[in-house]
Amino acid sequence: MLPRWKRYSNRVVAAEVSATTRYYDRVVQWMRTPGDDGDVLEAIESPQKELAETSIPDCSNEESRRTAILLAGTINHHYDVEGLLRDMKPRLSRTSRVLVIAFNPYLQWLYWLALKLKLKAGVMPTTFVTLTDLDNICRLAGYERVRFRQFLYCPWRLLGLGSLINALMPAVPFLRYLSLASLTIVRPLIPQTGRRPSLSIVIPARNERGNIAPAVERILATGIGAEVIFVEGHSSDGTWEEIERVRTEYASRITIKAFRQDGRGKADAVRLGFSEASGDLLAILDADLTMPPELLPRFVAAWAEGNADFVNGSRIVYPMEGEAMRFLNRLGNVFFAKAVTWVLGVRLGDCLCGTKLVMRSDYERMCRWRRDFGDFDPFGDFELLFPAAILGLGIVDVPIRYRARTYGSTNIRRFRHGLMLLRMTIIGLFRVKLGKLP
Amino acid sequence: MRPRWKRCFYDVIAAEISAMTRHYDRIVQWMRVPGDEGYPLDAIDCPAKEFVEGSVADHPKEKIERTAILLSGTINHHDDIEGLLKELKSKLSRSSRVIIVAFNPYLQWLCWLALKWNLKTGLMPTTLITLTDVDHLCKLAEYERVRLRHAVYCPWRLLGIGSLINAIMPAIPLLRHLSLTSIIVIRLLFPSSDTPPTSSIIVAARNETGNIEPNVEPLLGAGVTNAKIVVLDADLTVLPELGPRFIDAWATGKADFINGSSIVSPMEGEAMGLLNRLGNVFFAKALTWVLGVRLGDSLCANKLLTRADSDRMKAWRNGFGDSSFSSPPRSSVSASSMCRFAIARASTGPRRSAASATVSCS
Repeated sequence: MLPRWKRYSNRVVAAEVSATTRYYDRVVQWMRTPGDDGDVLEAIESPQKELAETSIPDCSNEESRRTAILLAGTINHHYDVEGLLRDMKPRLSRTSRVLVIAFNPYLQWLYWLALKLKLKAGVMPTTFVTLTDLDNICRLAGYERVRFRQFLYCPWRLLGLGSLINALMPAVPFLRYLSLASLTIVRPLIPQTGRRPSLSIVIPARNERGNIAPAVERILATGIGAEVIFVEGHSSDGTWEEIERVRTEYASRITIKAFRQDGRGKADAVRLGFSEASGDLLAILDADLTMPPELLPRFVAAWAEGNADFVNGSRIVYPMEGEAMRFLNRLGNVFFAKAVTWVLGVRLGDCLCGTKLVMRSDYERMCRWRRDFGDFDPFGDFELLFPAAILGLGIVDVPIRYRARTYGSTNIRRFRHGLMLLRMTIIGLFRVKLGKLP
Repeated sequence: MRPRWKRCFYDVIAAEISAMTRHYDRIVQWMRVPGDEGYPLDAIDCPAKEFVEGSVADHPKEKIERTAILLSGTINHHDDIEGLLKELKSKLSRSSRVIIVAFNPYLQWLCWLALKWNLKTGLMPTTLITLTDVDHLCKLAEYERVRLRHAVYCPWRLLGIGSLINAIMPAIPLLRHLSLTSIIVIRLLFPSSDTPPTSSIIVAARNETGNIEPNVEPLLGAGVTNAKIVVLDADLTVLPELGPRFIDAWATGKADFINGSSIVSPMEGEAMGLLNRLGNVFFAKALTWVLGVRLGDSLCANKLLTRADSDRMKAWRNGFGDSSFSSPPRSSVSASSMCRFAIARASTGPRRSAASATVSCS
């Protein structure tokens, strides 16, 4: 029979892991430590759970399935962590992730005390790995760290007080390093080989009649061979008629699908477009063409080279629209980039760029995540970035030069939309940043 | 005639760059921005200096020597940095480093003010990139950032006060981000594989009769034979079997300086183990802060570097003075301050002997 504090601790560990694995296809625990009775794995949520005894299952052929290999405390009892990761790599695919649960190396004396005071049974771990160590080992073994969570500050529930501490501490600067354990998600660096994945480009358009034909023309000129999906939303300038005309005109050269949204807003348009897409990779292109379609091949290349499973546009050069506005806009962008970086624990240069690229299989996972989390984002940027971070996809920014629009006017209202973004960031702080509780 | 503040500004930048290029073979400035009168390059200390005009495509590939490619302000006036870095790639060798001098993106309004008040001539920079942007760009173009220095806080000498500010600010937490420019050094990842180099292994030994033979045997098996230098401890606290892993980390282009790191705690005498470990952690963190290079362990004796770089370190040491009597910190300092090396670490195995040589000597 497990002591109560241990049961509670295991539930906290499982809650942290489940936030990610709930949306994966399976969890495989590898190299269970001698003292592990399977309680953590049992409490983890995932469609399929296994315990690998002799070797990890071969995942190297998985293209859309996601398998999480769980190393719970394993590295603390292992003499050759680099070798362990190296040996695993040939059996992993680019969608596999390794979830490493490790003790806080700076609190090893607590562990030692707990053993002395007989609070805990088992043997003293031999290996204590700091984040610097882990990053270096990842680099040597060909992996990349994509997520890092610190959790479990108080292993007792204490009538809810312990739970409160466990929830709040991850957001407290400096003190957050006092966690007893950490969860690190690493991804193997594997470039795409073999089959070239197909691409669907979704273009949400509202009052963008003059940009429809140039968009198609310029996508054709890049030669990336994609399917284009226009989603029109309540335009008053004849955008829909123009889309239909362009679809007929270019029918022989490119597959164009066109839909009219019932709902409102860009997020709704993107969802409709993505649900109708048939490609393996899904990209969003803004119809105002401020992000030049010529750069779309860069997004595909960033994915194909294995830099990340989620590619995020980053606007670092802005069109001149009068110094004051430009300055305010830039401030807002920097603020939200920093805030979201902090909330998600993923370094982002820009979180409000419309252009993104994601695998369709991951988008379906993001939809499942959204059903659990609830609708909170009318713009559609955060509802992709949040799950991309939580799922440990690995995010890379592709810097783009932002061009001034040549047709129409912006649909953005700075201050009102700024407040909405602030609200969304705060939701992220409470629901993503804070510690997960059982 | 350039204004005095501008001279001071570029002198500080040149001094920062010289700290490393002094020990390089050559520095080449590429893609000079309009308005650059060749000043930072003039003041830089390096055995050979040149600047080249025209597009990147016209240049020959760099040879295997330490060449620094200087991009001074270039990225602040460029439309496509990812494309530029990718284009540069075909011209670089493993030992080339790209030195980027860029404005602080958060102080762009200062640049704008300086232009308004005619303190400064030229164009407003179009591209202002943050460190996050640089790191993402490096990832996309397969580079790695190996050094970052904040430079120039006060572009006036002010009878020495300005110089004092410029000297002290880089060590002040938070405020150090207020520098006018940053100097970023990046290296190419995944260099094309040359022929596998030969290795020499240096085993430092004192009173270690019984450990000499066991040290050599595993290495013979690994095909280690003479251009790289591996330092091993004769006390066998680090398994010689891991020697090949050091070489592999070098050969696959992970870094040009491979540093051992003991992460497995010694099991002998808990108290001593803990104290030792505390000391190790303290010095690892302190050196990480001083050098600006993330190190997990600064006191592990096992290292791997090329002979050419070892010779450069010797030259650096002559200039710096022999401040360290046990070799590890010294080589790390030179490695970092010359900025030639990215340091990757090979995790080392458990300590085998009951007490390590350092402990028994002291």
